[in-house]
Amino acid sequence: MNNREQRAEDRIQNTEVRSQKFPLKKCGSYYRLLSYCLLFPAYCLLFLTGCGSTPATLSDMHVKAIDIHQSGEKAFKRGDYKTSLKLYSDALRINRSIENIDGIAINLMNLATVHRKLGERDNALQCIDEILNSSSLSFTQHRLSEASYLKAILYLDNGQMDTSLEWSDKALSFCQQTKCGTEGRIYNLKAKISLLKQELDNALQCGAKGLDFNKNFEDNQEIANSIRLMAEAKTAKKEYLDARKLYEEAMQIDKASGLTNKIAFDLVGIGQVFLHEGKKEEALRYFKRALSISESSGNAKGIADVKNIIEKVRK
Amino acid sequence: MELMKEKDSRFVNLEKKIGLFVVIAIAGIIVAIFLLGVQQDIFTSKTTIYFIAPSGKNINEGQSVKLSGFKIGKVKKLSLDDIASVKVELSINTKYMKWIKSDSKARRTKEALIGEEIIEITPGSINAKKVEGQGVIDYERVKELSEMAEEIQAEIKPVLTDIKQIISYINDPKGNIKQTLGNIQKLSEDILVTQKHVDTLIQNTDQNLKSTITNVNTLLDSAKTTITNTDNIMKKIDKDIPGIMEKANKTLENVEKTTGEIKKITEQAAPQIPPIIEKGGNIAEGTKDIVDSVKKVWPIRSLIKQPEEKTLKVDSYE
Repeated sequence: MNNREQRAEDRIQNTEVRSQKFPLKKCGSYYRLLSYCLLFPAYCLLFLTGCGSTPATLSDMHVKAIDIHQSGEKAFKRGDYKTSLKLYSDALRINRSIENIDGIAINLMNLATVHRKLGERDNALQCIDEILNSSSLSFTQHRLSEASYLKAILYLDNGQMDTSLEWSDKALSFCQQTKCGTEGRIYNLKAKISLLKQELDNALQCGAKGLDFNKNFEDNQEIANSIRLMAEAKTAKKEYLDARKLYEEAMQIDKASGLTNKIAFDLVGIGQVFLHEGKKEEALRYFKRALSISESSGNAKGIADVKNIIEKVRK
Repeated sequence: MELMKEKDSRFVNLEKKIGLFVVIAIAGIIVAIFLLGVQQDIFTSKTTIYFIAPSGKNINEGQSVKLSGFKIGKVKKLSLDDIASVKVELSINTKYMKWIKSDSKARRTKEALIGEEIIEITPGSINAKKVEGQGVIDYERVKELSEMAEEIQAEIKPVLTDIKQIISYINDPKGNIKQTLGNIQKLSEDILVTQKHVDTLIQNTDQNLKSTITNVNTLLDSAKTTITNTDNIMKKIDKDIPGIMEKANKTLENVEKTTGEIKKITEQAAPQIPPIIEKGGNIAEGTKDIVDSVKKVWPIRSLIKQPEEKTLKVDSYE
C-alpha cells in the first residue's frame, strides 16, 4: 500500500468514525433538503386539505324549507293563522319534493295545529291521518306519538272523551319504545279527560305521572298544567287546603313563565276553592284579579268567562 | 459517496422513500382539486337549451338562470343568428330539466328592485312535454323603465286635455255656467225692486196690522240684507273666477311640463340604473358568500346553531 492509498484509507476510516459519533451533523444537508423541498409542500397540502373540508351542509331546498317554516311559526305566534297555513303548506311541499320525512311530519302536524286554531277540525284530522296512516313513508315513533297526541286533543275538543283516551294511550305506546318528551303532556291530557269523567283518583294519578315526566324534561308550562289539574282534582274531592296550595304553586310557575291566561286560570281556581268553602268575598277578590289580568292581556274569552262567574257569585 | 450510502442504514432505499412521498403528495393534490370541482358543480351533468331574444342587451355570459327562485344554470353563450336575432344558449343542471316544459318561457328580470339581472324560466304546465337537450323555449320580453314611463305619460295626457277643456268651458263668457250666474244676478236685482213695491203696499194697509207689518218689515229687511250679501258674493265670484281659472290653467301646464321633465330624467337615468343595481347585487352576493364561508370555518361553525324545523307546542290544558 503506497502513501496515497494509505491516506485514502485513513480518510475513509475517519469518516466512518465521524459518522458514528456525529451522524446527524454529517447528513444535515440532506435533511435540510428534504425538509425544505418535500416536507414544506406536504405540510401545505395537509393544511389546505384540512381547511378545504367543510362540514355536512343542508341542501338549498332544505334551507329554503326551513326558512319558510320559521316564517310560518312567526305568523302563528302573532296570530296570523291564514298566512301561517300558507307558509307551512309551502314548507311541506318543498319537504315532499326532497322527501325529508321528518320535515313532512313536522309540517303536517303544524298544519293540523293551525287548522285547529281556525276551527277547521276535519282538515286538521286529515293532516294527522296522513302521518298515522302512511304506508309509503316510515315516520319515527316520536312523530307518531306527537300525531296521536294531537288527534286525541282534536277528539277531546269535539267532546269524544273515550276516543280521545284511546288515542292518548296510543300516543303513550309509541313513546315506550323511544324517549319522546311528550309523555308528560299525554298524561296531563289523560288527567284532564279523567277529570271530565269525574274519575278523580285516576286524574290525580295521571297528573302526578305527568308531573314527573315534565320535571324530567324541564317543561315548566306542562309542569304547571300537571299541578293545576291535580289542584282541580283535589277541589272536586273537597280537599280545599291541598287544592289551594297546588294552585298557588302552579301560579308561581306560570308567573315565572309569563303565561297570562294560565295565571288567570290559577286565580279562578283559587277563587273556586274559596267559593266551595263558602268564603264569597275572598272568592270574588280572586275572580276580580283574574278579570284584571284577562282585561290587560286583551283575552276576550277570558274576560267573558270571568265576568260570568262574578255575576253568578253576586246573584 | 457510494461508500457512505452503503454504510449508513438511513440512506438505504432513499429513492423509493422520496418517490413514495411525492406520489402521496400528488394524490393529495388531485383529491383536493376533485373536491373543489365537486363543490363548484363542475361534475354536475348539464343540458343545453336555447331561446331567441330580439336583443342581447343586459344578457351576459355566466348570468344566472333561475326557476321559481332557484338557480338552475347559467347563460353559456350568446350569438347572432341569420336575421340578427340573438341566440342565447343556456346550460341547465340536468336534474332541473324536468320542470322545463315546451310552454315554459324565458324572460330577463331582476331579483328585486336592487338585484342582479337574471334569466328567469317559468315552469310549464303539468301536461306539457318536457324540453329535451338542444331544445328551444320562447322568450318573453319585459318592458323597460323608460317604456313604462312613456305609457304612463300617454295615459295621463288625454286626461289632462279633458280637464283643460272642462275649465275652458266653465270660463267661457257665452257658456251655460257664466250665463246662469248672470241670470242669478239679474234675479236678485228684480227681487230688490219687488221688495220696494211690497214696502209701499204694506204702508197703505190697515193700522191694526201695524205690528204684523213691522215684523214682516224686519223679515224683509233681513231678506234684503241677505240678498245684498248674495249679490256681493255673486259679484265677487264673477270677479274672482277668471283669476282662479287662469291659475288652474297655469297649474295644469306646469303639471304637463313636470311630467315631460320626469320622462327626460327617467330616460337619462335609465341606462345608469342597471349597472348600479348589478354592482349592488354583486356586492350583496359577495358579502353573502363571505359570510356563508365564515360560517363554515371552524370554530365559528360550532358556535352557530343549525336552523331546524320543529312542531308547534300544543298545550295539554287549553
